[in-house]
Amino acid sequence: MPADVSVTDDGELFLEIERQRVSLSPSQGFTLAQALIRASTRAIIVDETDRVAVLNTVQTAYPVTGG
Amino acid sequence: MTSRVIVADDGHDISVVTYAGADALARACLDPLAALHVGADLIQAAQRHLTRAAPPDLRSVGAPIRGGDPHARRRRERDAALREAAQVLAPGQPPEVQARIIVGRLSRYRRMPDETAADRIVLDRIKASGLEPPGVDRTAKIIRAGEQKPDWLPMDGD
Repeated sequence: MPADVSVTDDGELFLEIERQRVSLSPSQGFTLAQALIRASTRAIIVDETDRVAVLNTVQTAYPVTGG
Repeated sequence: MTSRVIVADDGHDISVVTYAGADALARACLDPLAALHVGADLIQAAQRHLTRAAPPDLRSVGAPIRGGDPHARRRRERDAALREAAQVLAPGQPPEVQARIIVGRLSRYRRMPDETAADRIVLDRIKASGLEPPGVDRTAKIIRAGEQKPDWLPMDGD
C-alpha cells in the first residue's frame, strides 16, 4: 500500500501526511530531505550488507572450485 | 498551533511524523525507496522556492526573465501535460468531462517510485510543473485552447 506522504508546491511548500498538511520553509524542506535520504540510504546499505553476508556464507559453505 | 515534521528512523523502519506540540497528529511509514523519492521531491520543491525568491540576477543564467509571466515555461509544460492527460484519460469526451476527470485524478494522485503507466506518468508531469493544478473550468479552457490551436507544442529550441 502506498505511503500517504507527498510534497505539494502551490506557491507554498507543503508536506502532506495522511491528509495533514504541514507548511515548510525551503530550509526545513532541505533538512527534512536530508533526514529522509540519510535514513533510506542507510536502510539500503544495510540490505546490501546483508546480501553480501549471505553470499559470503553461501560461498564459504559451497565454494566454487575449478573453472 | 505550529506543526513540525520529524523523521523517525529506528534502523529498521522510516516514518514521518507530524507533531503539534507534544501531540503526534499523523504518522506514515515509508520504505527506503519511497523515502528517497519524498526526499528528492522536497529538494526540488525547496529549490524552486529559493529560485523564485532569489533576485533575477541570481537565477539561472541561461533563462533570462524577459517580463510577463515568470512561470510561462512551466505553465506551458503543465498545460501541454493537461491536454495530453485529456487524451489519455478520457479520449473523445467533451473538454468539461475530461477536465472533471483530470482534476479528480490529480487530487488523488500520489507519486510512486518507477511510474510506468501512461496515465500516471502524465499526471506526474502535471504535478512536476510545481504549479497549482487548475480547477475544472480552467482545465476545460486549457483543453479547448489546445483543440483550437493544434500547433501548441513548443518548437525545438523554444
